[in-house]
Amino acid sequence: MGRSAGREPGSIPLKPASSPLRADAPATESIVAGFETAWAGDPACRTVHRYRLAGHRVALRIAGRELARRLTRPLSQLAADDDPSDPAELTIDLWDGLETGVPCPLLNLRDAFYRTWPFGRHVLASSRDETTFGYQTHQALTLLDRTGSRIVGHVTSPDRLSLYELGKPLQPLLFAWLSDRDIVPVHAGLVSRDGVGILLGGAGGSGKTTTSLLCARSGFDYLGDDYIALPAADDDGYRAYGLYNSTWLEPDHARRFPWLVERLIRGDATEDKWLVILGDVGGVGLAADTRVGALALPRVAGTRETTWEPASRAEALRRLAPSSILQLPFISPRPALGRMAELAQTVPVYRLELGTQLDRIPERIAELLREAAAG
Amino acid sequence: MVRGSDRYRVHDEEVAAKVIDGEAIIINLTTGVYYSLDPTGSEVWSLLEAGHDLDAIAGHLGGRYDVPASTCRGDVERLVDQLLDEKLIVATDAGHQGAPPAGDRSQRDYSAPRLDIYRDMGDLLALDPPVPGLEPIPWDDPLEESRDPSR
Repeated sequence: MGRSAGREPGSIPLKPASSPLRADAPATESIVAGFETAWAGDPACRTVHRYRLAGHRVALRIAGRELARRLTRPLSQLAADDDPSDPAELTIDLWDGLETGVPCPLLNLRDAFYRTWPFGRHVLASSRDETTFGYQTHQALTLLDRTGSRIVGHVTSPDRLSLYELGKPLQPLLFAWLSDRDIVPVHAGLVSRDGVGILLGGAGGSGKTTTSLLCARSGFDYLGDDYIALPAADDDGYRAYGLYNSTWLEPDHARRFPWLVERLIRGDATEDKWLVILGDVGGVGLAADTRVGALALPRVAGTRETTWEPASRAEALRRLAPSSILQLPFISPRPALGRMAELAQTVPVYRLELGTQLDRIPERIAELLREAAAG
Repeated sequence: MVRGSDRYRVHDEEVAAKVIDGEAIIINLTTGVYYSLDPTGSEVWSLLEAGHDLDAIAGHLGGRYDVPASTCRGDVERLVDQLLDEKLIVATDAGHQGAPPAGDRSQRDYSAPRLDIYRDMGDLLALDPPVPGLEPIPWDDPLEESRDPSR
């Protein structure tokens, strides 16, 4: 009898792939073989893209032109001109079943993996020895080989990917890979000016997206409004990294951003938020990373003017950590909590009361950054 | 009913916690409920983590705040009852045999330890789900218990 589907593995160390009982191993090999077959097909379908993900070299190989066109858009700010001879630290191999004519050799993760459990309406999986994680949606089946540092997967039909998959491709597996490297995904927005960033921490509805988008329209660089990556501090303090340049807006919310309306990508009736790829929007500066100068905790106050005041570090951790740790799979909770506590103890922390006069918010954020710099 | 000689440990299998600037932030990873402890409560939490029994913790607080030990003991027992109810700590036989080091006299007045409970993650997830709502996957219910294909 299998283990029941409960909470996903938490703190998961890297382990050698040594178990003789890996029922998932043939399945993994079949997915790899599927990619190799697709990759060996029409050369015109093949593209290679190079990125820096939280500072690490990533090579994305895609067999399928339409799939490549769709999946690379939310990653555009991470594009790197690394020398192709430099080995990638993470290789991602994907193929489009429709365009290449190569079907997925595995129908369901649950047919092959030791453990599966739900993630929203999607499915996650883990091998018995936790060296392989899986992620399956309606249109895609992808695996992360944690020891080989490789993601491989199949997309049935790229034009049927959900908005979530289009905006945050491979999110659970990429976050697992980051977590293995002591890089913590933090539920926060991040904008910067002159190379100094302000992290906007808080749960959904706190105003992260509104603040991030307004700042992006006012000369700040945009790094993210949902999740960012936070490695350990170096000699210069904390440096945070953007992940996806995608944002979601509820239809009512979108009215506040008329400059985004023509770029809204509407989903089907089951998707209540609409997607915008900010890399496609003119006038938005994107950045891949920034030094963190301050941590702000936004809240929709309902007052006319936006105000800010110092906040306690405990409040910062309380508003930043639970939603970061509880929402996503494959995150190691204790190291993540420790990293966020260290951040809160290192940078100035402010409570940000967002007013209704939206055009004033970027100005107040700029003031806040100046205040933080003045110390 | 807790007793003065009882010892407890953090329920590490299900809990992540951090004390920062005198306040403890505690997350129950299984239930998604999270908590904060005020400074007095955080002192108790740290002493529980260190393996001290309830008598030793109450005595330590009494010395720090110049409050009768009986008052502190009642407060500590109430807090420990709450922490047990929320499954944040579990009883243990192991622990620290000695008294905690005498702390400096606190600069603030004593207040009974307080545990604040936040059960809003369910609402927050509904407002901002990690995976936007989609139609169910058109195969077997993924919520059903998974199978071990190697057996």
